[in-house]
Amino acid sequence: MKSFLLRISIIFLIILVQINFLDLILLENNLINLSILTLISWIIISGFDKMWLWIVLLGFFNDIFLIEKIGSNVLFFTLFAYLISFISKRFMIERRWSGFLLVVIFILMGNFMGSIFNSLFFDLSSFKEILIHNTINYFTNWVSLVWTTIISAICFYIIYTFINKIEKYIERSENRLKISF
Amino acid sequence: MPTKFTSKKIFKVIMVCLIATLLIFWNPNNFFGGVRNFFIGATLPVQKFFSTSAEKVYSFGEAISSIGKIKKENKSLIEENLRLKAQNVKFEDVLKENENLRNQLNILSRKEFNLESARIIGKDIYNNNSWILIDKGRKNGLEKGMTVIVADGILVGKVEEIFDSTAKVVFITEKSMNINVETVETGAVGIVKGDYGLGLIMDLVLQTDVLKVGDKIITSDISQDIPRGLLVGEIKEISSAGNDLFQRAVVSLPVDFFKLRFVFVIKNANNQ
Repeated sequence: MKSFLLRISIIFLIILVQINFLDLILLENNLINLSILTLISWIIISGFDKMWLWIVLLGFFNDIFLIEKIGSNVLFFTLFAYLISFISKRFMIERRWSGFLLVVIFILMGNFMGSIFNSLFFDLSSFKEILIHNTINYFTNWVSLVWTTIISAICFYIIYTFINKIEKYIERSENRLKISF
Repeated sequence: MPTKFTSKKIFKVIMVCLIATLLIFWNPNNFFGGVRNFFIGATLPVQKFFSTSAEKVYSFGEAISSIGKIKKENKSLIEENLRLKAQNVKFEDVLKENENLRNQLNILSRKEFNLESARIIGKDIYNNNSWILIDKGRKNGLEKGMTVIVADGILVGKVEEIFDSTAKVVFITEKSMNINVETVETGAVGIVKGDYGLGLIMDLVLQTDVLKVGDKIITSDISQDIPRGLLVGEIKEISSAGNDLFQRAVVSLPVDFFKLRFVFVIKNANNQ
């Protein structure tokens, strides 16, 4: 119960901070998605098998609060989480520099894929146009891309540390419970 | 011992993807509308707290960054103030004339709009469908499709989704938006479309109509739900070849939508 409340609180906190705080102070081109950073943190810390249901919930509540078609973020987050889990198992994520590089690639991938994935369900008829438009806009604006990556990396560090502490606390509590039984 | 396929990672992914795809295409808005309303309503105090904090942080950041500019800005503002005072006298006369003309043409005066002021408490800049969340909703008499403006009748967008205490407003820069417009100076008529959340394009303007760079674009009275005379933007660039059927123009916005903090919702849009 405690773990459920803690994880659901993380989901709500991340989404509300994104919509009601971060997006209000950031400029339009800085695409920082805290939900994707949370997803990456959960996969790295606890793995796909343990966190997949929470990732589904994260996607569901994103759809609820972002007022989008229910299922679009669930689909994207699940596929993205699987992709991260797949890649991180085959590369050395535990090594400091390769791990760091991989996380930066994950962040960039997540931001870019997330920005085009929703348009697939939003307006299927002009998906090709949106894809070309977003690709040009995302990769040609170097200043914005660098800033987005730097701010995302800082946010990722904060979220990762926060989630790591909570997950360790949950693990400790669960172990204590098992011993007492 | 071989693991069961149902306990494999890929099985979970396939199952979730199937259910999610089903939900996307089924799109049970009636059911999830209630769920959405509940969660948005329940978290409204937290949302307001975060948006107020964001406003303070933003103002603080702006104040810090503008320290050096204040002296220079003050001087130019004094000059502008004098110029505007002189202009104001001239406009008062034009205003009287405008009121008379509006009465003769049976067009609703701008000051007769029943406006509901609302604070922006949320924003989505991540997706192509940029929108804002305002702190007024069904309880305040707002309805789906109502026009949203900022000071002096600058068109911002339309209410797309309505909840008890909040509403989702979609900007006019969205691809889904099509607004009937006309130019102030030449009277050329056309349709303004959103350019993937980044700007506006004026399209379907006849070759016989005249478009000029710098000409102001206002809403025309063809739209039933948007009042006439709201400022949409200014022609920035005309892009049409002689053999094209219609003329196109890039429209610049009069305000930066991403810097908005307050908006007004027009409750009595039907000006016919």
